[in-house]
Amino acid sequence: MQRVLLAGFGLMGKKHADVYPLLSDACVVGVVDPRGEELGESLRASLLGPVPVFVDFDSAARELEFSSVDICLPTDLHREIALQAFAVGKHVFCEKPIALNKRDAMAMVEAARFAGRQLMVGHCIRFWPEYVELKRIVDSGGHGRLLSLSLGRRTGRPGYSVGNWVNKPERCLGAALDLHIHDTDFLLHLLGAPQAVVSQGLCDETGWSSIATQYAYDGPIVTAEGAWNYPANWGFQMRFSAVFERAVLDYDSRSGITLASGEAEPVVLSMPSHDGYYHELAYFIGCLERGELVSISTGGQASASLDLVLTEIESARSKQMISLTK
Amino acid sequence: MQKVAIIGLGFMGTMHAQIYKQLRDAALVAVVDKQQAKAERDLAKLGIEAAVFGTFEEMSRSCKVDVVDVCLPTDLHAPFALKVIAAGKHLFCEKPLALTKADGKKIAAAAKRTGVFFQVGQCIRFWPEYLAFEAFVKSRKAGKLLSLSLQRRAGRPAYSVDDWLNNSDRSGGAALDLHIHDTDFVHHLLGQPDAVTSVGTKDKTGWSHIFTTYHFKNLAVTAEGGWNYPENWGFQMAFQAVFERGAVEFDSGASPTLTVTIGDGKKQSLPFKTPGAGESTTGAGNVSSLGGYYNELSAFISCLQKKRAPKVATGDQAADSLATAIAEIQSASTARTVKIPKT
Repeated sequence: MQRVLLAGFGLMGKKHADVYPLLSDACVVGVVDPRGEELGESLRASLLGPVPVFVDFDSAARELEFSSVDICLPTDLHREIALQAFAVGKHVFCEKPIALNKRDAMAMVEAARFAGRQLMVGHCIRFWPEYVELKRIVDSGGHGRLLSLSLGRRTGRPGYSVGNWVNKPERCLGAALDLHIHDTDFLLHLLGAPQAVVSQGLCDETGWSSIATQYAYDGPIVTAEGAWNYPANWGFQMRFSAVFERAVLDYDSRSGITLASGEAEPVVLSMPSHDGYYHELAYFIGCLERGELVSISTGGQASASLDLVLTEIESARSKQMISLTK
Repeated sequence: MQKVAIIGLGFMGTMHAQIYKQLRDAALVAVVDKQQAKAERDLAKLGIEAAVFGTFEEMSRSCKVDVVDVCLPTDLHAPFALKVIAAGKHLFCEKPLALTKADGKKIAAAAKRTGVFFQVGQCIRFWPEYLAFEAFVKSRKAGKLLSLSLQRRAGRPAYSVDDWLNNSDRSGGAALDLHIHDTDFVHHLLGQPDAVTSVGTKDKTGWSHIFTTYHFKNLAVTAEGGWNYPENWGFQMAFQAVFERGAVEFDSGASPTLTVTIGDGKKQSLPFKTPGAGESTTGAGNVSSLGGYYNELSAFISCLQKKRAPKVATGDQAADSLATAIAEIQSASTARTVKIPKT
């Protein structure tokens, strides 16, 4: 049984709080949130049951026994608490993006290695059923080579974050790093590192609120777009369209996933009911239980995704194609 | 009344024939097609009476026409467009204007020199939803346009005579035949981009799928066009536009097709005008609605009636968007950003 300390009870903390009760090998033993007892009602309304709340990591570590920390705090706070957790020998699951800059990300990866503990990052799209299916089809080669892939992620401005941190560029870096990184990370997972990127975007007072990137690969043509400058009631969409030699796989979160192959009519594929949040935490807890090393969405992989997004931002800023081959 | 001859009674020629039948100020009097007997049968099926000729020269000798509408495969546009201009007839030429920048410019210049009126079938400039979107952009109801992404995707075209669309030397592939609609619409709405960066998929039929980033000063614009989808995948044209205070979304497969969300308001359909032109009865091609095709020919004939030169989808405009589409192909071939010279 893995005893988890949940750090941060905002949007993502609450999502994770809904997942742990479904896992037979994990339980949340406490919550750390700078708002402390103010959480009251929202904590009681969650599935966690009566758990103690601490305003900082040290007091939780003094009073509780736990094996891992699940960090759901704003991005600028990831490094400090991760380092505190590794210093006292805990495993860490940290929300994406791993950090705001390469230096912080490397410090976290190094601290995990030094402590001999696991670091997994919440790049949930690697675990999202429709994207898992896309990777399965690409890897199997059953419909021929992947020829092209376009990915998109669009939504209204996030209005849900504590202290509005998501709309502060110095805490979040905008949609490019908070939203679009899902697709960047998934591309690295699916196809490895591209040879070059060319991006364009919109930078406003909240940071990069929109970014569109072409990734150069030796093989498929790839583009991804992420934007959260849509109107409040526009809704949310994540989508992809993958063209293979003998089929097309289309996914749109608003309508579902369909496969059109050969001369057959397109078919709607049915997906498992749990989403990526469930599968990523189930995988992490499973690895800890079995004493296996996490190999999907590791700290090192998340650092590479961060790196690539920062390169995309640099391309959008300089309006230049940036080569990544050494 | 404008007397019209169509050259090439394939998919697009029959679309146009059905439209001339409905236009009050135009009469289709002649058709030129090398498959004369088939053309006669197709016209009879559509209930259209027009004389059919095997060559342009025979038609010219026997018929007095005001306008010639070139609906031939793209590789034949330049020779036939130049013949029509030399004969002093007004010219409507299907898109893309030509396969090369030089031919595009040559046709546009010849029409100007001779003084005939000339319009190119860049029908998206006249397509009902795109017209409504253009009007919305100009109204600034949601502030300035910030970003625009456009898509056009389809199964492989199986309807062309001699399968010319799948022969890159004749059609230029999806990049020049399909995607140019969006390149041209970007030109129409936003002007020439400063540069383009593209990647594409190339197969035996040419550039079958292309992704492009259009570089503008203060706008993020991308487009995608591909016809390497499976046969039963269907056809989709779509775009997403984000403004300072709103968003407009179009998807030919959605219902409603065109929506707008402004400020804190709900998403709602954005009204657009469809001309009462009905559907094509031939069942070929990607699009059966005559709407955009009707609008472009109606606008052209109306210009001729008023003796005014067309202002939308002119030869120069089509030559410019052709040059940009060719720059996109060049970018995809070289993996470099290609600058677009200002015209």
